[in-house]
Amino acid sequence: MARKKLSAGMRRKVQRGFAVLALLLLVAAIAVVAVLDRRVTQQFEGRRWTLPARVYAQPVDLYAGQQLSAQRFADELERLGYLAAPKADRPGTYRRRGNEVSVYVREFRFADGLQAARALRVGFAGDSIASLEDARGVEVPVFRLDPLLIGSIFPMHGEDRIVVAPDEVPPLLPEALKAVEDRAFETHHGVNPLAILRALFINVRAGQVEQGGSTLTQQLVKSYFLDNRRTLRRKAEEAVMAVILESRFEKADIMNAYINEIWLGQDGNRAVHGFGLASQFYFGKPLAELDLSEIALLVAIARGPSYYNPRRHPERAIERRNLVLRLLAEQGVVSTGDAERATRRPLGVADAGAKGGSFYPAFLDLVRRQLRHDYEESDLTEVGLTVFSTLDPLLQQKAEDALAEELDRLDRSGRKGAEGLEGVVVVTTPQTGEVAAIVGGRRAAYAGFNRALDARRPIGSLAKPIVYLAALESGRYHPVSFLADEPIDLELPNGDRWKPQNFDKQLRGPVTLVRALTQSLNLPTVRLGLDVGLDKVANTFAQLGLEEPPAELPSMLLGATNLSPFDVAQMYNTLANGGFRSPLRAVRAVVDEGGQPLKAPELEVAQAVSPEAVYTLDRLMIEVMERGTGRAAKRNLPPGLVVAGKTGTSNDYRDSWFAGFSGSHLVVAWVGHDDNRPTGLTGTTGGLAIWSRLMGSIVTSSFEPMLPESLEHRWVDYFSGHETSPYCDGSAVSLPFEVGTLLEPSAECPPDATELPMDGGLPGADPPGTGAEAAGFP
Amino acid sequence: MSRLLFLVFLLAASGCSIAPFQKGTPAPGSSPDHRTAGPGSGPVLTAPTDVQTPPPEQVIEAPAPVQLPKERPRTPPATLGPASRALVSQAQAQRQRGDLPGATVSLERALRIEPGNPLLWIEMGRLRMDQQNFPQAENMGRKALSMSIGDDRTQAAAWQLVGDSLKARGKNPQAEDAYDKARGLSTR
Repeated sequence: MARKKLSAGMRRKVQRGFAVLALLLLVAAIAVVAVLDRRVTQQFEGRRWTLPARVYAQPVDLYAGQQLSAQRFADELERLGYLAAPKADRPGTYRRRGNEVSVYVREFRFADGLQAARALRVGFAGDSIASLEDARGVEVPVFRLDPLLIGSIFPMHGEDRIVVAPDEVPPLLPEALKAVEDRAFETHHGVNPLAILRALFINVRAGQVEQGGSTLTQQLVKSYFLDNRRTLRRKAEEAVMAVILESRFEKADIMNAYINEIWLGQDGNRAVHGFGLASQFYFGKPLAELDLSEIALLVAIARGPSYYNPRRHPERAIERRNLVLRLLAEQGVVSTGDAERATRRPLGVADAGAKGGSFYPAFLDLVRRQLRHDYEESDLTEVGLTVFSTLDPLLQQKAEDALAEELDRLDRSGRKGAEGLEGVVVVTTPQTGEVAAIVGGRRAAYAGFNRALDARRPIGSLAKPIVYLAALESGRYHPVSFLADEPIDLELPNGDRWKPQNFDKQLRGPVTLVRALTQSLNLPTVRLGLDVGLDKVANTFAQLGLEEPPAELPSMLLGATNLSPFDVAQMYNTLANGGFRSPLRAVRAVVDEGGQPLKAPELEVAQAVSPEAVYTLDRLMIEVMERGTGRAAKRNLPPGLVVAGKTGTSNDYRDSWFAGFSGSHLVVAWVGHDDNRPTGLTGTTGGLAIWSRLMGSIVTSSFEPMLPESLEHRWVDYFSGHETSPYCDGSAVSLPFEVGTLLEPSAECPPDATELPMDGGLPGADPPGTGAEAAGFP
Repeated sequence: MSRLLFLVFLLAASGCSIAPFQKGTPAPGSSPDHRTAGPGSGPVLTAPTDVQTPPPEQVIEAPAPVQLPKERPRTPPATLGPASRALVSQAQAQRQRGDLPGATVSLERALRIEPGNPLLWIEMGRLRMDQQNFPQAENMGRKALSMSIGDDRTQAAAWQLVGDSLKARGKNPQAEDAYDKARGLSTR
């Protein structure tokens, strides 16, 4: 009895103890659930994702008369992920029949509003568009293609994603996800104990983890908190949060969140999240346009983006994709026939170089730097801005090819110092001051040191046109003023002596100004610069757009100034733009998530130097290409294309430059070693080779500036500077002079001579001697 | 608004008329028309011009080693291509409803199609006026001037723009000079 009594008392105590403990546990559990509830609900409801700014290339504008062949147009559509189809009857498809292309252009929200999807017929004649009509045959004056997505501005090691709304998701995708990952999705309450048991059984039998028992909801929760620790506590927390999510939100919201949240690939530092970006990343087109085999591949990748990476492990990826297709057929999501046809398709993954990813690191770096003037870093990486950039993908491709091919050629040439060279190409459109392409190295897609913006190297003879421009602006010189090609011996402010020499160490006595520039003679240039004044020359550098003008030392006249290729492009753009300075832009417009325009760099022009001086200098730079150090470019250029430019070589051949322009493009090319070793190349053998290969491969127009009112063209002898006639011999050049300039008439061949010489040598022929003299000058 | 209408009229007129070749007398204050000036017209210390010397135009039209700017009679008035014309109308509609960012996008599209067309730079300058960016309006006008030498009608429109941008900044004397130039050119 006593024992019983005692035990009864004990039992009550124990029972009370248990009750208290249970109560405490319950309170604790409620507290934990409340905490988890807050965490997961906030995550789900608040700003669900930070959205990196999306950067687009410039769109292709279609209009009658545009220089675009049917082939190039079809290439462009392929680049944008348009599907060649028997009928262009839905957005993202096209059909080419000979000289006509029917295309259903996708809807796109530009900076000035939504452009609705539209079916167009584009007729071609030769290399240009002959007609542009809509489906009913009504003429359309001008229409934009949707632009290429070229990347995002995401934080270091950050998530990148494109959020899609439910109506942008093909209905097959959620069905496929359910069939493969979570069959009971529609009915479970966040966890599926049966699935866990089944997975446990399978995994124990197999001795390894073959199947997960997580529901889509659990996977979503896991992804939210980016914790890969596989502890029991984590699992329990995830399960509780999954149940909470299910109790609070609709299935459809959870599915949409999953589609936008989940990790689907890695691109260097960039984590590719969500099916919207994955579609661009793997296939280069919008999610809504994917077919069965492509959707199946994305579902396959979702299981393990590294393990099933279709670019690195195509065999694993295709095996898993086909497993997905089989499951879909087994569960009746698709017909067996469709699944079998899809099984026979190749992976269809786009080249890493072409689609939807950050493959333009040097250009995107410039975009980011320009936007940092107006935006905080967090604005760029989090709030879903859309950035419309100036990149021309086709030009970028050509520039990358030109650089890589020439550097490879130099590798094979066996020249000392020419192996393993690096290079940069910057392309602008001078009149609008836009940066059309930037190649930062021979491996263009490799993000590293941005040589185009940060490699500051001596510009050599690229400084000469600026010296001559300052001289022409002073009003004391004209194209055939005489300059002394004689020794120079200067005492510098620090007491050193400076004795510059010509490239070929020869002296020529008095030479005309045009000849001194065309043949890149050092001594006459130094004399000219000293006479004009170092301050004036430095000021001209600044006027052309250089933010920090060079130190006023005599050596700057020969280009001892360290500048980046982008700095050079900024200055030369002013020369190519009639003396009007336009700050180079990589961004045209920025809009917020709702499509409202925000601040962006504007198109600006400012007259920097006198139109007469620039016109005259530009004519002299055309002569550089005709008979001077730029002659070698001719063989790569279409006949009759007028271009202007200048070579540059730094001391001991460490840097090889060329900067020059046509009527529609400025190209700056630099070649050198990162460790500054000599390259053995002059501007002609390095920079010019890349420049002319690129200029010769793009659609561009002749440089034909308008003659200012106060100038007139006159025929003068290149060597003697005497006024002469074009009928005389090959050394007559037509150059601009202020109206009424005093010129001595040539005795041998005066200006009024009209006889054609008997040997038939027309003025286009090379003047005797200049070819040999010019060859190889820096 | 009246300036806008003037320009619309200009664009319309230039699109459907054949330019008269104007030889007229130089506008007051402008430099002598050098394009018809012979070697003897300036203080040139060359041999006296012989009556039988071919006129300089002929010399310049001889085969040339490089492509030369053409010897200029009066340049026909600039006109817009169909694509640019559509974009300019669109930009004007956008400006009228106060959508200046939209107008910027449209005009910049036109400029990429015809970067060398002075009429588009004038339109851009008009847009900068709307945006109260008067210095840039003037710069756009000066760019248009540099691209329309010998085209009196376009030059007049560009000087008008330059005058407006100066006037908007209270630079009245300079503005009057610009307006004078515009008037001189449009009555030529």
